[in-house]
Amino acid sequence: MSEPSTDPTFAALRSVIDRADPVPPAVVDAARAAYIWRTIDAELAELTADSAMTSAGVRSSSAPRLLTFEGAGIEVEVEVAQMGTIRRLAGQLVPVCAAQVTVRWAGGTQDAVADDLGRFAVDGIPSGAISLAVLRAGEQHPIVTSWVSI
Amino acid sequence: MLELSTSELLVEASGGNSSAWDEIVSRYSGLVWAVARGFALSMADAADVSQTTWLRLVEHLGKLREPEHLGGWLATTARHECLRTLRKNGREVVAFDADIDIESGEPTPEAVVLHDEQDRLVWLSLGEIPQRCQVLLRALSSTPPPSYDEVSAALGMPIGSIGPTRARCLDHLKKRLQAHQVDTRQVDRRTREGGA
Repeated sequence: MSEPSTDPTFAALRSVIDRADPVPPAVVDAARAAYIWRTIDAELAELTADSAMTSAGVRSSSAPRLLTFEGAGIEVEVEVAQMGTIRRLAGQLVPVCAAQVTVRWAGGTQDAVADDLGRFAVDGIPSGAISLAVLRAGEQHPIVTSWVSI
Repeated sequence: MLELSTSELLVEASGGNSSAWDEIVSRYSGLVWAVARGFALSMADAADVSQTTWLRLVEHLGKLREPEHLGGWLATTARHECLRTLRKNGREVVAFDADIDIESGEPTPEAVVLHDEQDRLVWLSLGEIPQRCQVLLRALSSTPPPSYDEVSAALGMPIGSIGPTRARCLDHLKKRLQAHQVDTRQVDRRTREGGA
């Protein structure tokens, strides 16, 4: 079995890919910049369910997407509605509690308040990767959710 | 930083050393990009997948079970995010395991700027082979060259299958190149001579 580097077809392909589709500098910059979101005192609630992955067949693009994050004794359910490149999030914290909720994305953050029934809503979020930071009433440290592209 | 292993870089990065993080990005941003583009995602979607993959690593710094397999972890995460993006967009990779060429009219890698006709035909041919082959050949072509462990993670395929699959995928590519009457020795020779 010849190594791929010695196969002329592979060498030609590699050369074309290198020139045609290198990693865009902006993508590398964004990867470097991701490091600023490192959190040292926050616990993680991981993405455990995503309706985009579980519903069969092609979904109606108008149906809201449901995301569930779980961890650190909390469940965060988020419904994502899509309007062009803008997203509206409607969320529910379980167990229900009041909290400060911050939606974080590469270009900024937006705050919302979860009421005593654990409900919150945030509008005007750009499409792309987001994470939520949830600071429950009476707690010292926030819980952050997994990053997910919406 | 250059001489540190990935495990050591992860320890440094999780301790707050941003130079270590930058080195990790230098080593693996090519692989992550290759996986995303291998799934024929648009530039914008591939950028999203890349960003989400790197943010996932940030949140898992210091928590990876096998830090020495960081490249495989990144490739797996990128693959999962690609499948998520495709489903979200109402597209499916139903034939990912099928060994059939992509029919014309199917999504192909986004058009890129290539001034040379032979180069353009090589790029076109890549978009016509089975999706699995596109991911495999893109991953194998990434810089720096990935390990088989990492390529296996990019495809969700056992390491032992990579060699035979690579051979089959190159055959698919050669057939498409012949159909387009491309002489790859010409492309390769120009590359080695430093011209383009």
